[in-house]
Amino acid sequence: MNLKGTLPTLILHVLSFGPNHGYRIAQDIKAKSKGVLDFREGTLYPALHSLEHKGFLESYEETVQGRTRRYYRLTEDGRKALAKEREKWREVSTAVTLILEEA
Amino acid sequence: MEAPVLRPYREEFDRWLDTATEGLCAEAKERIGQEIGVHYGNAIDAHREEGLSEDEAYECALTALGSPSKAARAFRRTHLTEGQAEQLRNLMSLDRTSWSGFMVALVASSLLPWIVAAAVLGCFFAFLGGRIWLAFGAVLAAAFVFFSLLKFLIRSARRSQQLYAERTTSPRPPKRIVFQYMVGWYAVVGLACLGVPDLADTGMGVVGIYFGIATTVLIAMIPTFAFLPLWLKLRRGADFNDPRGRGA
Repeated sequence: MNLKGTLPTLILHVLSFGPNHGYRIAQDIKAKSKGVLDFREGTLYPALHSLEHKGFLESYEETVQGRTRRYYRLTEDGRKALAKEREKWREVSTAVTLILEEA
Repeated sequence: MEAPVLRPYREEFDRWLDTATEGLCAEAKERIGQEIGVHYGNAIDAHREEGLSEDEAYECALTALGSPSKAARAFRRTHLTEGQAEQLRNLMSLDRTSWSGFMVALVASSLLPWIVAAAVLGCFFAFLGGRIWLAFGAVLAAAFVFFSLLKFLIRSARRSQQLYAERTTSPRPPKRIVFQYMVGWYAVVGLACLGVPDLADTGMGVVGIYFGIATTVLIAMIPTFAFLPLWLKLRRGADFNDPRGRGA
């Protein structure tokens, strides 16, 4: 399913559970949607960098088993942005459901 | 130790990375290459654990990354290109402690055309009015005041950027500096516009006005083509792309 426009919100949601690195974020999104939401992993990093530059995420490097990974964590601004996006999504999905389930 | 990546697959991945980061500044290339390289290694490991053969694991990991051209388009929106990073470095170098260093940086950061344009315009005014040294001196004095103000603004913006960097590990785009610089340029354009109608009274008539308009357009082209695209990109969040995740 096309994720266009929703990827940043999904990233913020995954990171609300704690800091994580790019590969794990991508796998979490796929796993949590039971494989319905699929995307090309190359587009994950521009989205992560954009969120970081907007101040919604912070990043730091950590070396695990000889591999230096960049971990991302949510900032306070990121939490606020996620809450707003959740609210918007609820409104939109309620409206779409009302239309599609019209008898 | 990183998992060894077989040569043909490494070359394919390198090609993917080259396409995805084409034209970006060196810092962005380094950061993206490091991050996606680790991602690629993790994906290969995971596919191997799932029981895929060596060949299949490498192929799946590369396919999952998707089109490098699409990634390149997205990265160019987020990161600075080589030219823009150079432009920004020149601009930041204006924050010098000594006046001689400041003047050298000023000339190096494309302000030379403005000084030349201002001097030419001043000489032209003076030629028509017969007071060449007075007009030339007035233009230079105005330039000095303008650049002093610019220096002060850049320094204050830089200080606020440093204060922010001390509180966080993430970079903050120096967009304020570019914005102030751009506004300064447009202020010069505005002043030049004010002077254009006076050219009609200098004896040159319509020719004088055409000359004034041409000079103003020339001055306006510098911020429009050199700084407006950079500022718009910084507004969207691009920055120095320091690989450590801190602003320069």
